[in-house]
Amino acid sequence: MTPHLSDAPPQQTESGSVTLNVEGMTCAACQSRVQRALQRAPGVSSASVNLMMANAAVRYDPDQVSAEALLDVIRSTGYDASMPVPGRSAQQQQEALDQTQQAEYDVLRRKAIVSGFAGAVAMIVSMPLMAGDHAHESVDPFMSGVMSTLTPALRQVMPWLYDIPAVVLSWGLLGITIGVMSWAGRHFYSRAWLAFRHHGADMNTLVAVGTGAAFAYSALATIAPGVFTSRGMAADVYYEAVILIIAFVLTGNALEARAKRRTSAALQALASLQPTTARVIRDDVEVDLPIEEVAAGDVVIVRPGERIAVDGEVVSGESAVDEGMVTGESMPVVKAAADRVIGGTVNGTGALRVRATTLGADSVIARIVTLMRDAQASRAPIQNLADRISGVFVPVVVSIAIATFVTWYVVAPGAPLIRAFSASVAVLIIACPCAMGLAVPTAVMVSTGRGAEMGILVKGGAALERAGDVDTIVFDKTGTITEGQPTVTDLIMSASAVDVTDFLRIVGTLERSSQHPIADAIASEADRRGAGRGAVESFQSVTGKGAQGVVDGRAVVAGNRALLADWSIDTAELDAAAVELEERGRTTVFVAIDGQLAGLIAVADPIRETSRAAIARLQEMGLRIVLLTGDRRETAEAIAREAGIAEVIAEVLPDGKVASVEALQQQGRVVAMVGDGINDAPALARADVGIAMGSGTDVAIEAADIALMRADLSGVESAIALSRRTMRVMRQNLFWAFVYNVVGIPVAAGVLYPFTGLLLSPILASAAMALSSVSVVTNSLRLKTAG
Amino acid sequence: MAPSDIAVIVAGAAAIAAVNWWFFLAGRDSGRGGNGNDATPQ
Repeated sequence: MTPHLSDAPPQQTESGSVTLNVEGMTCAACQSRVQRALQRAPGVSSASVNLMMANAAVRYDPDQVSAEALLDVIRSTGYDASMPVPGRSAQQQQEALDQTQQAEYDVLRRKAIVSGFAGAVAMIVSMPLMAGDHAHESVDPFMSGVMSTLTPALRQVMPWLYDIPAVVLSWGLLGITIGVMSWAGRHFYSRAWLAFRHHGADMNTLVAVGTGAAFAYSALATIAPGVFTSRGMAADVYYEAVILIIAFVLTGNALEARAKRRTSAALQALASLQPTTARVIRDDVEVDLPIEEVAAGDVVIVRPGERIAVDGEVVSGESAVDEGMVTGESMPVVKAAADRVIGGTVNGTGALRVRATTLGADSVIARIVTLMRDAQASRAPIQNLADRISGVFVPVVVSIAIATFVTWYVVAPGAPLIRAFSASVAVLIIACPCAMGLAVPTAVMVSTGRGAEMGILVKGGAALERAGDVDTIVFDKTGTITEGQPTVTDLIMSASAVDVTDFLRIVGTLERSSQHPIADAIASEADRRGAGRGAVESFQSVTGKGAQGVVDGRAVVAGNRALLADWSIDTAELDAAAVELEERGRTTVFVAIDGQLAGLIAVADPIRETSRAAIARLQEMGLRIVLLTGDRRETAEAIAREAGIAEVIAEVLPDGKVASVEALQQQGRVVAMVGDGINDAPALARADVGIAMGSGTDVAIEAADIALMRADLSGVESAIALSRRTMRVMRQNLFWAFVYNVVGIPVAAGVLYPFTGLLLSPILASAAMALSSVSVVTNSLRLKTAG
Repeated sequence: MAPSDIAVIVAGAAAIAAVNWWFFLAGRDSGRGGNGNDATPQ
């Protein structure tokens, strides 16, 4: 059965809700600045900014602020913003996002390469300067190392370099550095300034202050060297550090941009499944149309081996359709007349005619992509921690850098001024919290993308986190463990009963008005036996008990013992037979006509083939499994035995399901509820993690945190395994990002110098920073092979 | 301790105070909010 996603939230509602594209954010502090600016704007009730998806989801009051005004708010923080184009198909939206990301990546890569090259040149040109007439070695340990290795070689290859007057080299370097800073590094300074004006600070601030200070120092030494020499200090210049720092930070940013593109690959793949044309029958003629021109109700022809163009209902034909790319189902599903098909799935060997139902942004694939993108835009609670830290972090680091400078100056007066300077700059650079900002979002993105490939739709980072902590799973019976398509297996008439056909006609008519799967089974059986249909009045469905009404002028009651007891109808005659059937796992329905017990119908709902194995594996994972159902105890226990579940809570009314979940939670357990069907929705919402089977109703999918596209319990196992693995990766990322900063800052400040002589070159610091971002992203990408 | 050392220490302390005032307090005073501590729970 195809999943129903007709209730996915649209992009704009009456209360004002919009997702805006934001360009140029590179770290958590950038993201939290945009978020705070939006949250502070009048009329905004909530804002959620996502670094990886480069967008901001905002809820606002249209009477107080417009979406355009929100764009201005974002732009005032230094980042470009644009409106999403309405009515775009999933494909078009994804393409637009790809293009933006590709452009960003290209620009960053070009800048990184050019500045890297300029940095290498600057390093070479700097060496004669450093080995110059002041005859002192570079205070930068990295440059010292380079110099001692390369000087002899350089003297041989470029002896003329050493003949150029130092002042010329110095001015030349000044020129190159200005060029790099104003072209490649421009956005660091412009964004840092914008942030500063708004009392904010982020990674750009650190880079801007670090390179700016080093540049100012070096420029002064070039333009007015007397300022230094008159005080007995060397007029050292530090241009190569400025350029190389910019080059390394840009490299880190470029690699992040590339990672963004790769992490959204799963969604790209999904969005590209939808064909761009369809073969439609118009006026009895087959015509190829672009997909945008297909209208609801059009009949589309799907030839063998083709991709189905649109969501629809099969009009004629029969074929096995591979729905793997969308639902993760590995076996092709047979589709015949009246079956629903999903656009983008692959037709097998039969031909089909399909009447188009949902199109464009409402199609299943478009809705999945939108759902996943919203999920990736949502926050994992663990991420809030990283956000809060990054907002406070930068000013604290600047303070530490100032303290570092002062300490060096006062405590080690024999050391050159530039050493104090160098240590401060190193502190600023090594403290860049890029890795911390990427740690969680990259993991969430890759993980939800991987989940989508497996037919597991995780509705957000929070759901992912909680699912990783689950230790108890509560299963609903009907439609979850069982197929949800019961059939009548036994029919026992009471002694005083009417004719069988009559009986079926009456009961069938009543049950046809009911929505319950058991009612469907009875109604189908009545049709199957050609019992005919009557007329029903005063139909009433009694939740948890059955149904009652008047059919052809006769009062009919169909339900469990409790319902018949309410009407004071004695069920003793058929009780024994009922118990015997229930012990075999049947659900029994007592039927009374005109106040007299008329018969007993037994309905069986077989358990899914995959249920038993899936449950065994879940138990192996250390999870406690509970079966929760409104069915009679005997039926429930029979099913539980067959499925391998030891714990059963039976005869529960819908309110009771919520209470059962709560009771388990009060024991300190983290409870996941797996369900399908309207009476599960409240319990799904109450559970720590609600998991809806995709074959179920829209209500269940809306109330759930995770939707399984496939009607297969192994999806639960995969979902939990994926969550656990994702949480592990997130914690690893955060740990390494944090340790890197915590260890790096004191080392950069020179804490180890008195003991080991160890100093950190700002150049190495920026290289290490780029490396940490890359390693966090790479670690997250490992999740692509999960499950 | 040389006078220049004292001057540098004082200047450094002033700079640290100024940085923290600007980023944590000034924004809040002017109604433009702090610096990350008011993250709204999602």
